[in-house]
Amino acid sequence: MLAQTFKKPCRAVVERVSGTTVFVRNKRTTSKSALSPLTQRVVTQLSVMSASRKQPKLLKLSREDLIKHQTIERCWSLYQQQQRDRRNTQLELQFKSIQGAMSLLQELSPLLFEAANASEKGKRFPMEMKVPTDFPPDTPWHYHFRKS
Amino acid sequence: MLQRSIHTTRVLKNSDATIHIWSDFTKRPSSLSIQSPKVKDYLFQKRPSLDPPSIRRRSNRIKYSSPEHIDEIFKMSYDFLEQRSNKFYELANKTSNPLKKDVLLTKAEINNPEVQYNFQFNGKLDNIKSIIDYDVPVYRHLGKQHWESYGQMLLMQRLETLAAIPDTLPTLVPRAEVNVKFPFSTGVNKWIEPGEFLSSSVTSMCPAFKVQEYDYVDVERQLYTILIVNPDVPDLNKDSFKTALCYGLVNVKLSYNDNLVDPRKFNSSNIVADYLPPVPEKNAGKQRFVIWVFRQPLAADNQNSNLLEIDKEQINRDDFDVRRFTKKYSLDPVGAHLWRSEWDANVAVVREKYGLPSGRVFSRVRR
Repeated sequence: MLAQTFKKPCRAVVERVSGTTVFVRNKRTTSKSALSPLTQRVVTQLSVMSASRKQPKLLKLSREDLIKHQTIERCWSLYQQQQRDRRNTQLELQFKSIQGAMSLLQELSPLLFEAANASEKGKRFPMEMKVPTDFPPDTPWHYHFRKS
Repeated sequence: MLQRSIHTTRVLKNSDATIHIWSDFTKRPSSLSIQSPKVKDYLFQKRPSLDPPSIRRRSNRIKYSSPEHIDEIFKMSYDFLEQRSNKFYELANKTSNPLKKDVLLTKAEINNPEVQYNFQFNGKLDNIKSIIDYDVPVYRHLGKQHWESYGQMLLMQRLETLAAIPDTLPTLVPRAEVNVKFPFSTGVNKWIEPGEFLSSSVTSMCPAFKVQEYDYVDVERQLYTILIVNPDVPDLNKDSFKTALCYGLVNVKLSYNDNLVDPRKFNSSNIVADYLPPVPEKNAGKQRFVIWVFRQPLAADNQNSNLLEIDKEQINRDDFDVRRFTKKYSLDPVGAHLWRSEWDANVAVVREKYGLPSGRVFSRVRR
């Protein structure tokens, strides 16, 4: 029984201690693969970088959970589509209303219309103004800021 | 424009207030529900901490753990989709156009997880009516998608590469899925792949066809014609080939589910040309046997019968003109299939069985 279980290791040393056989496993002396250690290292490094490692792992789901997963994905895509449509229609309406207002302005006062449509070429975004971000900055206020 | 942008999350409407249309089977057919109560219980988590019944081995079942929080999110998604489908049902009830109604009913059920489960994990070709019922528009839609994803493309490729089109009919707009099977007593009990080589013993008895319609058709009135033609019969006089008619059936009635055309389905009045099995002559090369399925024209009003009266005397089986035949009876080709045969050692046996004369043997040198 013992001999069977310890058959696998590369080198097992049999020691006889007071009549019973005891297997001792020592450090591996022969390499598992035929490659030299240097080549083996290169192979290992390349396999770590290989494309198969970069691919996301295949989800191992049972049939029912796969259906659940698909349902959730479909629901999410439909929900996003709804949001997108709603936003697009809103933008369209805004654009239409701006266009209407501008055409009305053109009728009422061409001078003001000209002023409103004056070219802003060369006008840059002011440096001192903060760029809108998702989170507050690490240094919320520059106390010693001087406009140069 | 698919961009992620900040949006405020809105709480979905309370699901208790809406009607649970997907769990109400008083009006909807029962094939829209999962038949197995175990699977259904697991899907909707009737009891917490259930194991998936699709994993058979107990050890694997214990090892398996489903993704975290999948049930809560599934519940939410299910309610969202169910609510959406409710709208389509309302629209479908208002429309009278059957085509539009089919589209709306498909949209109402396509996202139903039970329908998806039934379709994805059950036999689509040998469908069981209680699970996949092609009378229901959504299953027809899914079936069509499934067919178009592979079967239809394979068929068209084989028809074109083997030049079945335009050698028999000019072209085909595939609309019905045709599958062929020969009786099991011949030894090959499987659906034949288009263009496959079959030995003469396999084809010695008449095949069974399965013609699956996915479009909206008038099932009560629509009749079909099925022909098998062989465009590779050597014609020594013209130094060319001629087309032979191997089998002809007319006025075959089909429905969406009951559509296997075998001798139980028709009688002698439907047969235009008895089945003549492929018996290619030696050295005559490979012969194509092309199956064509046609929709017959419908009579203008409901009173007239749609039955086609075909004069059997006028049909020349040895030199058959398919194009003229289809034009004469204004048949609409909807599906096709083909197999190939070659001379083999069993041809003589088949010839003897059908009382045919012994075939010629061709040689390279014309004598």
